[in-house]
Amino acid sequence: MRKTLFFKTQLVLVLLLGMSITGCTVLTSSQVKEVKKFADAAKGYGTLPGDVVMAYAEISEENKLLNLTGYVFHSDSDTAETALEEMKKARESRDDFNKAANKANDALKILDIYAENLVTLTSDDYTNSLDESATALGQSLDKTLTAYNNAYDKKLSMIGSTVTQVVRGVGGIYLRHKQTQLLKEYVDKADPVIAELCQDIENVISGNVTPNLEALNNKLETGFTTLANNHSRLDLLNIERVNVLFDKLDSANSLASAAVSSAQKYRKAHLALKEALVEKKDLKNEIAQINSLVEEINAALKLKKKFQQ
Amino acid sequence: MNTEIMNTLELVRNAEKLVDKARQNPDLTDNQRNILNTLYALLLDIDDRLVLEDITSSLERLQDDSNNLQTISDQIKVEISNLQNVAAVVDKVANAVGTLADIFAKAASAGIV
Repeated sequence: MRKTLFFKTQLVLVLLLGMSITGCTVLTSSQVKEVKKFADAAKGYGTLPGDVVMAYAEISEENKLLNLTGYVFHSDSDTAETALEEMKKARESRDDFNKAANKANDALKILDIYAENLVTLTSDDYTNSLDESATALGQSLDKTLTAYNNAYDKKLSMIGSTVTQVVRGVGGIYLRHKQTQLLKEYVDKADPVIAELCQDIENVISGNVTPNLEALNNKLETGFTTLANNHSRLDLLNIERVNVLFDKLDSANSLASAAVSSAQKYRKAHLALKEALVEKKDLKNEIAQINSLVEEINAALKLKKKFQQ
Repeated sequence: MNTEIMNTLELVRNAEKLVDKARQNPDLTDNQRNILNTLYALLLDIDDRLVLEDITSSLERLQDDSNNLQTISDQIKVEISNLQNVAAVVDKVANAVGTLADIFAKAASAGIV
């Protein structure tokens, strides 16, 4: 017990000394939490700009169909063919809008992928997989030493458990240091790109989509007037259909606001993550650093004990 | 919104209003009403083409931003695979040492060493 404590103290001192010499910082649990918080915010990225464009396309198509009620049909004229041609054009136009919208939504899948990659980057898996590798190395060394002792009738002591502990301890700290270094590097690198991306999403919605949704509202009113003026009486089905279009238009406007809000939230969450990763020279951060280090040392000691059993 | 497209859209939408007003006239013949209706449909189609062009050009900017973030994300993937390699390297060393021990034990039992 005393021997273990002595070794633990030695290892902690050696590692702390190493850290202070190299000025190395390690990944702390609060940083991992911040990354997870950001990833959760990214998952909540609900409404994409393409969804709003698709809503516009659907309502605009319906509006064009509504316009067809303005025609007066006679069997001796080609008005029916004209109406069929216009229906075809309305479908084609809707498809073109949808293609552009899908392309935009596909492009924005990167927001999720980026957040997932940050979570993988800060995962415990790398240090955990060191457990197995370090144990295997210790066992192999002991096996070699046993073979050597048997062959030459020597009594070299087994160093497997010590090697396991050192490889796990030093490897774990190296990995945690590397993780925090990479996390900071890539979050800094991505931040201006994300700022621009989110700003462009806002610009598309506010500048290109919302004004056209307003114009579409006017066109729907015109469409309804045409329908009403060409029929002395309107049946409830037609009235309900137009009413649904106005509802859809309201939903499209809500979608537009949600898309802007999603972009703003994503941007805000990334900025918060960037700020959380700024190295603070305060006591709280130093304690977090030491806690993180102690976690690695405990993992190494636990492995040593497991090895000896 | 692109200024050129915005100006053209304004012209088209003014024309839509004029044509719509004209087609509501109750004194029109069926043929006149149908012609104005076709013209209105044509204007709606032009309107949508312009809106699509405007939105598409803005969405292209999103695509460029997305490609930039994709590049960073790909770099992170490479780093992730490098981190995974650390344990793999220790594993390789362990295997090499293990093989050495096996060779050593066999050589000893055969009286070679």
